[in-house]
Amino acid sequence: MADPVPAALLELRAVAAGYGGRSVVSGIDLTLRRGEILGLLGANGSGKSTLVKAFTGQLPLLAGSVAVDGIDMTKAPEAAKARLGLAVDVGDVPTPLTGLQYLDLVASIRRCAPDAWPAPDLPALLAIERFLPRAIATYSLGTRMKVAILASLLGAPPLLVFDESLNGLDPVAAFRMKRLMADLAATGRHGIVLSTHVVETIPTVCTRAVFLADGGIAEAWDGPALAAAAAAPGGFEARVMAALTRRTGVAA
Amino acid sequence: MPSPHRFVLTILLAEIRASIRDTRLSTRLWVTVGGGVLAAYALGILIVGAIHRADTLRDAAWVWFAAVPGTMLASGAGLGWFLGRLAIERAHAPFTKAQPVDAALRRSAARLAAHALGAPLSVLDGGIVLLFALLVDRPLAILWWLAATALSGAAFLVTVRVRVNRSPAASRRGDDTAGHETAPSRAIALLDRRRPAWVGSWAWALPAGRPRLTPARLLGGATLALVGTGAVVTSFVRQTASAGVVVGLLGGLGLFMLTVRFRPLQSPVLRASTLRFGRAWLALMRLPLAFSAAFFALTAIPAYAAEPAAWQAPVAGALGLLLLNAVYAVFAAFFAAAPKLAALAFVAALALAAYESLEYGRTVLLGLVALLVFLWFRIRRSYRHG
Repeated sequence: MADPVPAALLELRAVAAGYGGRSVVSGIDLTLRRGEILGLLGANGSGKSTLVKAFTGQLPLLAGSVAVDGIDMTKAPEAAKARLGLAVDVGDVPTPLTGLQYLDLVASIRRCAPDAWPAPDLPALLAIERFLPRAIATYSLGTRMKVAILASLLGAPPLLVFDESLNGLDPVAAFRMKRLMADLAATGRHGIVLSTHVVETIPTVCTRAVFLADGGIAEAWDGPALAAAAAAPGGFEARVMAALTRRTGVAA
Repeated sequence: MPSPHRFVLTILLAEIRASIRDTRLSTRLWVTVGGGVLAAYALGILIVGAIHRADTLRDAAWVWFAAVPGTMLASGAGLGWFLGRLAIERAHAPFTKAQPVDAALRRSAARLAAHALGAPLSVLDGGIVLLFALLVDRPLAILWWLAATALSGAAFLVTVRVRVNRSPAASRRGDDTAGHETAPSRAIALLDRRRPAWVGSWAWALPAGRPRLTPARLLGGATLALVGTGAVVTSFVRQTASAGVVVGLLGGLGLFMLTVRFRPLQSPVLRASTLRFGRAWLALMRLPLAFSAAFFALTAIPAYAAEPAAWQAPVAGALGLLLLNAVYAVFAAFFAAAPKLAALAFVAALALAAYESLEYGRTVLLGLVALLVFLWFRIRRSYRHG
């Protein structure tokens, strides 16, 4: 008997969201299952961050629905948020606190120990231990990003969301972070959404990808399509540029 | 080619346009219609009051030689301080660090922006005096208008200059922490490590959870201690609990207003978390409520010992303090990024409610309750959805 299809970890149906009553993204249908890493691509202003804010419960939906692990984000926002970990933007990390205090704060909210990560000794993996007792105000961009990533992993939530979180990481930390994402997805306990501008990252890390343009999904690649596109060096990047050209009419 | 001296004004005007554009239509309607109606109502009360008391007000020396000049000076200075701060902060915006902008140009651009935005408001300030003079039939109304405008304008210009010449303090808040490891203060840790941990330190921007004893804070603490001790001594000398209770109530409220901060409610760290709004709101009040209650207890309990028969006074004072703190906390959470505006709105709402309830009875207080409920739902929505 074939294995049943696992239940959706993140399910977006006809989602529309935006600001001041105006929609920035609309008609978004998306499903993510445990074990998958979804790459979210798009030009500046295409609506990636708006979409992330919408499905992490930070923006009211103008239409449609979002469910995290089967829990409706609009009806039970706290229960849905308990199942997701979002690496907040570096500008939003509270700078007066030390890294340890920030982890304490998030752990206390999530009701878990401040070292309850899904993999052992993540501060060492990201080479951030010596910075943690210092105030975040003194951190570099990359170190702030690392502490935001660490906080998002506290309590090992099944859905992990990284909105441009690889930006500013040093090459070693970025490599380890990509390997960590792959390892976490491979356990079958987590699903990951990675929003990024670094196109080359997508075929090496993600199992699926979508390309946002004009507030909608313009192109989608499943596992085999990603593998095929990435078979030739620079192949996936060329496919993304072709999609962008089709959408905007401007040659990349 | 636009003058480089205009860059602060350009930033401020763009911010104003963007904030209007990004505000929901319903919010814009609430602000313009609701605010307009409230302003018209307040103006109506003042006009009717002025007409009724015209004979007294027309020749009252304290009005024309103390209250009017004092109000003009205070309003001009307040406006100058506010706009000067806004402008100098923009003049030191991070993007300008890599631009060829020297300190003199920053100050000059900040002054230009503050003057451009403040001049019409200063004229309006004088216009209110003209209206008042015409209503009470004061001779030489035009001269009074000119004098009032000149006073308000002078206070405005001086405070803009003073504020602009000071370095922008706000941009450094929370960012001037030393780079070395820092152990949090034990006293703060004791109070602030409960779930959600460190939220008070975050709200107060205490570097690594350690309070900084600035001269202003030391002076404030010393003043409170002095006033509290004076009230307790007075209670014992006069054998009455009321002095200590009243000072405890007002001091406790003042301490709460000075120490409560709700800015973390606007952060995605909480918005994307599992923390419910009510819990976050209460958590941010934890430290300030402790300070407020401690001050009340330190003055009201010894005062009660001076007159044990009046046990109702400290009980009523404690309940009143709790109620006033809760009401203020709603205003402070609504104006999370502007605590001074929150204090002004709270005092204005209480003053208006008190005045109206004297005129029309206590049912007017239902209006205050309705306002609180409205603010509460707005804050909750903003906490959830930014």
